[in-house]
Amino acid sequence: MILERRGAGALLTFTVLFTLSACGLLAFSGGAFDIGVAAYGLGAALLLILTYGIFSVVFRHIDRLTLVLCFFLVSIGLVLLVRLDMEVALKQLIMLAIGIGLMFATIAVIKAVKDFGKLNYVFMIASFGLLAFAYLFGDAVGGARNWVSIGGVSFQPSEISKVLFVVISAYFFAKKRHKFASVMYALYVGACVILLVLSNDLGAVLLYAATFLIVFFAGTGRTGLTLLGVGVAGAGAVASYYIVPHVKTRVMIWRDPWIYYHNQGYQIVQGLMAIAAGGAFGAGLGLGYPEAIPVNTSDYIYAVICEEFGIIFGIIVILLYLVFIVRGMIIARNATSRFDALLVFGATCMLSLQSFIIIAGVIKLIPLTGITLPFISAGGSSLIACLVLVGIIEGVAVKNGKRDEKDVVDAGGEVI
Amino acid sequence: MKNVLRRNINVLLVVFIILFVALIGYLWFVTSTYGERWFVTPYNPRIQNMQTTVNAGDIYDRAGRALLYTKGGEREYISDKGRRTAVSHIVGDGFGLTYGAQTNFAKYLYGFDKNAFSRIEDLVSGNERQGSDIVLTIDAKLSEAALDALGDNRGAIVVMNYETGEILASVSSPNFDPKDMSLFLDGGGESELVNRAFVGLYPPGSIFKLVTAAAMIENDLTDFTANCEGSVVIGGQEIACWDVHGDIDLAGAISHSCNVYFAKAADVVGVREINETAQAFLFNKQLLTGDVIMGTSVYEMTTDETNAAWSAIGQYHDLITPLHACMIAAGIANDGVMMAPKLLLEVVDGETVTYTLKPTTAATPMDDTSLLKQMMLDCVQNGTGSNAAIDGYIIGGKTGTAEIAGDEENAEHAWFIGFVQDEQHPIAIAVIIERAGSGGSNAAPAARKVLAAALDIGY
Repeated sequence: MILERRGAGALLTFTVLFTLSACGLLAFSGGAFDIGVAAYGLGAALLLILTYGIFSVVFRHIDRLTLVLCFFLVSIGLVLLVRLDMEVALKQLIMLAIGIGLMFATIAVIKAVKDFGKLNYVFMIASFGLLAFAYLFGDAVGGARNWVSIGGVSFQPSEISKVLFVVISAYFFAKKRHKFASVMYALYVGACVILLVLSNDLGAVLLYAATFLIVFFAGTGRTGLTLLGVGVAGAGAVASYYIVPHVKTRVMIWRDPWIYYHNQGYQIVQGLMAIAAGGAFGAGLGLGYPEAIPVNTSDYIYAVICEEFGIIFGIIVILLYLVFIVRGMIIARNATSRFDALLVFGATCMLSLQSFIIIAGVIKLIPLTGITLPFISAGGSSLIACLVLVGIIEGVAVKNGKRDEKDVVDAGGEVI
Repeated sequence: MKNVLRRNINVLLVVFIILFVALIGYLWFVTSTYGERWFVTPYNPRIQNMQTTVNAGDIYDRAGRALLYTKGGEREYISDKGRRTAVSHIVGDGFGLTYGAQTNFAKYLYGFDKNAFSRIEDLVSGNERQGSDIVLTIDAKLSEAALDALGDNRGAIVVMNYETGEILASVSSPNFDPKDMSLFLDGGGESELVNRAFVGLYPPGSIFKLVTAAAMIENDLTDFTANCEGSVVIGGQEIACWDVHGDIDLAGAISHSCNVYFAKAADVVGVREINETAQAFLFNKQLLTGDVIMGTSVYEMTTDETNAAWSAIGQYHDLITPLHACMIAAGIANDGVMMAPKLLLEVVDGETVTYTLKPTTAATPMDDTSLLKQMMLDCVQNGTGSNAAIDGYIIGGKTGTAEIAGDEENAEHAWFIGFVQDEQHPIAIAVIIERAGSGGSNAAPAARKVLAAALDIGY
């Protein structure tokens, strides 16, 4: 435990130093010293230190490493956004503050409740309603209709819906439910996926379907049925290749983006050039040319990371996500109830799958589907959803810690 | 039940670890294999962008002649128009319209090879970013001679050192003047920007008989003889020969370029065996080593006996780039070792040499090429390639007269590929002149002129 805290402390120190030095460098890069950029770095660093301090005092058993890992990934995003677009960066910092607030609330709620009981049906209606709303009234951005604008504030309902999806799935797989409940849940999952397909939000389709299958497997342990599900999903994917023109295009440009350079392949090619331009050690922060990459602040931010910080740093980022997954799985394994275990498991899987889908898409391992890179990409809804998912993980971690402490104290020990 | 859940979580953790390790492995593999190629495309906006912010390095030929240099912040081409256009495809243009050195070696010219630390150092110290100078393997004077040998014809000539793979000259006609690109920037022009030498895919015609012959040697079929009566009917279709050769063996068939012999041989060797040898000679293979981006030559296996016969004499769907044709001649001359084509001799950053050419092997199609070599020497001494002979030197070669599918009106493409057999002068050449007619009377004399010029310079 002490060791983990030291590790977290060291990583937090590194995160703060990284943020400060990167913003310092960017402040000088324009020739004259840009006080705004320096202040931004200082503000971000203070916010992270403060959050860490408050969280570790209020929630004594919080998993500090998970929290700080998430902070480091967030700070990479902030630094790159300052470099790319100060306006977006400011918005992201505000969203970060809001997200941290919601993460705090989430931890408190998760700590207090057992499994939300019948409330899950409300969640189901809300979650489905949000997706339906986006489909009916949403605006299409980048081919997918998943943006909703209310009173000048635009957000992605599928991001909020995603969090509810994790909670609902954990509830239904935590123990054997009534037939009615199972049917309702199955209808809900099917309806969500169909709505997302109709909205052309391929990344979300992949994310929801894969998370469902993974939680299904973990919850029921029925390997045969899971593989059947994978088969059905695969068949659906193949069918959609022939039915949905959008899917066919994605596969075509994945196989050879270069011949479609002047139209659909442009984004992928620009991303590949950016990754190649950085080489192993990167062009250096502020010294690359990521302006050439479309959507460089959100879906394509991984290409910017590789261009400016280098491929080795890009690999480190992937490793950090992997460490995050391992931590999440350990917390899930130690959970006090099946619901908690599945909750953390679902949240971890969702974040890991999301990072895998977009990184693999950008480096052309799989066809590209537009989705944000967790914690790093610009985008309020996405950042907040990721932080709430961390809140879920941390809430369960706090519960675990309490139980462990009780066990130790019962055995006559003491926890420092 | 709880334990089952734990076990399932463990299983999925392992799945995730495998996925992410695969992600890392793929990222590393793909960037180390294709990274360079992704970067050096004329599409890359970084290259154009850097032209305004970086003091770009100069480009020299192997003799130290400047071909493109930065003077007072401006990019200057050499004033001699003949020389400028002779090397234009190799040096490239400044607008990213062609795959020349300005694009291919942009990494060095604009300082992308310097790491983040030295770039940040430049930034902090306020120095203007300075790219490195590069020295190419080509000789500008020899390039002029090669372009001259093409005359007003369309076509391409490649000269390379067969021991090292260094490209000594590579010209493509028609060409362009990098000083005045307005025509092309407006979307005009025909095929002037295409570097025929590297990416032009032509039917190889009779020069492909070397590959068929190599397949016969590899499969111990050198004893095969045939009777040439001026034509042969295979699968109901007549394949004509340009002469009546009578009883002829392999060596005679190469030096006299007998169509009937190889058309008949196709069935004896088998398309599978020819395909295997063609692949060994890098047909159907994308070459990732070397400094050039070249088209992929084609040999298509067919079960149709007529087409199989046509493809054994370099027709049907066979296609080849002039550079690849030169590499085949070079590989035979170099005892079966095909060197990867190289264009970059040195990179100089200020006073320090940061890169020097290291020859690499592209393929080793045969262990022993002495038979093929002898046949090619015969071809120049007594056969169709006699116009390539130079007094005092031992020249080997093979001519080709390639028919253009669906075009019987115009003359054929004239080919000659060959080499100088001399340890002091290890040079190979490929010449193609479009629609000039017979290879022996059109391409071979051009090859002689260029080889003579190269020997004169001392290569």
